[in-house]
Amino acid sequence: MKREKDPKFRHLEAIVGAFVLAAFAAIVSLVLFLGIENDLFSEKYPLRFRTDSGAGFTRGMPVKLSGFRIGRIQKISLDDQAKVVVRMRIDRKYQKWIRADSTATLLREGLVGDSVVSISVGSPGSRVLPGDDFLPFMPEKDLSRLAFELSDSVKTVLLEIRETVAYINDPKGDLQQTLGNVRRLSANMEKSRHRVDTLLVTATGTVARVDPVMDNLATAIDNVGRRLPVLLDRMEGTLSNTERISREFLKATEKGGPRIPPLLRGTEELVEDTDTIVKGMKTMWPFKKHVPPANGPGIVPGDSHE
Amino acid sequence: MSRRKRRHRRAVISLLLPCALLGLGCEGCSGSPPAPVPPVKERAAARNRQGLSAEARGDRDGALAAFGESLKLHRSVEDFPGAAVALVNLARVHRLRGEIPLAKEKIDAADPLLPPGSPLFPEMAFEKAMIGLASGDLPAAKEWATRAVDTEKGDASGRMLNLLARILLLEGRSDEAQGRAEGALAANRNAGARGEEANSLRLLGDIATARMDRGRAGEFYAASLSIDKGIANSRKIAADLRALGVLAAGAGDTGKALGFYARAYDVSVNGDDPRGAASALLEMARLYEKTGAPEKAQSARRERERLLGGHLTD
Repeated sequence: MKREKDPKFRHLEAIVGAFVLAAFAAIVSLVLFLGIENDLFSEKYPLRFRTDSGAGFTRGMPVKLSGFRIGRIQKISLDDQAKVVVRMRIDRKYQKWIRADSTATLLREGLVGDSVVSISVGSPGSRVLPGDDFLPFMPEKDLSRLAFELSDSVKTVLLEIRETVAYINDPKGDLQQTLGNVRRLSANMEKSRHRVDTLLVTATGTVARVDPVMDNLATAIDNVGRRLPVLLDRMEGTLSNTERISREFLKATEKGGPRIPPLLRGTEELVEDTDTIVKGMKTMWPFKKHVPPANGPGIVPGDSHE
Repeated sequence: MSRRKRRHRRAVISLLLPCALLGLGCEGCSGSPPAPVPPVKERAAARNRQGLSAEARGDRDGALAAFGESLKLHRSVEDFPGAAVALVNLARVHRLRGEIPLAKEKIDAADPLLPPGSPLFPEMAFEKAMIGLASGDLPAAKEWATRAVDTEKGDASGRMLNLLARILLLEGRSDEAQGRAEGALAANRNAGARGEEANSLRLLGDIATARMDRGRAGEFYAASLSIDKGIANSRKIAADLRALGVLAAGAGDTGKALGFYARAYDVSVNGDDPRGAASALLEMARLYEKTGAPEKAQSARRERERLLGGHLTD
């Protein structure tokens, strides 16, 4: 039997083989590329930290050191005390930076960015943390937490001020009694002056009558002398508390203040971008067919009955 | 079906399908991109939009501020049509706030910016007529309402005709008013302007009341009420109910009239319209006095006084 040979298919086997090889090489390159991208071929070691709440943590969440991704969260579990244990897989080559005084923090990248676990670089004097060891976790204070703490401190001061005011106003309190004594003393002194006048005029030996008044005066002065330092101590305590709160408030403002303008700027840019996108979409098919036309030249609707 | 026919059909489908896809693609990509708007004009237009939104939600202070900014921006680039839009809007909001001198000042400033051929001229003329009406200047109101009717060729012509009919009725020319109101009714129905259609019907009811044709008036008011309920406009519903109350009181049916006024009061109170509620209460007080119920009349007057906050106008 004669076999027909078409010259077009002369090198068919070689061409098919070359294509298969090329496809195989492409698949191998892709696997290698993805592996390198996902750090599949680098050596890892585990690290853990413990936190009260697992909110905000997800499996696979990036772990960063100085802004560089050095690993991911591998597992989140509860321990015997119902604390959350977060286990991370860290690239071995970064182990030298993570030391006993390093801390882990949950951070959000930018205004609407993803959350990441950030590990701080340890000081050169501390020991390098071995695998599976625990890092301390520092929960970051948010603005509401700061406000809450501030309100707590302010509440304390207000309570003290209220107590002090109540103490001052209390009719049975030291201050009111002292003032009462001083008032009585003034009245007594007035009477005494009259009596001294009389005494001087009559020149009788009634000097002894001045004695009780003088006694009263001495008692009152003694009272004032004894109670005033207590009052001053209390006032001083309140003032130092107020000063402390002011310092804390200043610190909180210094910490939170610089973050507010960039936040606002970011929000503004976000709104402008969204506006641009929505406007662009409105002019696109098929949206433009469903967007109602603008209300003429933009006039407030009129009504003949108003 | 023969094999040949099937092959033929497949060929047709394979030709039509790419054509249809190509057509859809062309439809999606067709049309030139909009011409870029200068940033100042874009900002001015944005302020105008903000003003419209503020007015729609009842924030008239916000609306005035936004329209004022829009006017400033338009004037900074000598954009006269834009400035005229802002001025008409400012005039309208001032009028709705009862600030008639300010409204007049703004609309007078808009007038020289708009030649009669301008598309905004009818709206400006309408507003000028409304301000004339609010300030009691009927001749000026009529002149501008007529100009608005003559220049408006679009869907707003029914509104312009309604206003002219309203002015004619106030002048006591009910025949002319009826002709204009009927024209307005047809134009509004044609344009699908439901609110203005109800206004036309209410106006026809007023004209019929003026002619003592209570039967027709009742039909018009009922039709108007039905539309106003459909579009859920609280102030208009209250106006329809008060008109029905006037009609019932005129017919000597005090109980029915009181019922309509009580409904109007309820609608106005819940629609945050103290003036409308006070108006209904005043009519109720008068009816109670007429029927020999002075305590109820007194109570209605006291409630009215509370609603108006001491600013009484009978």
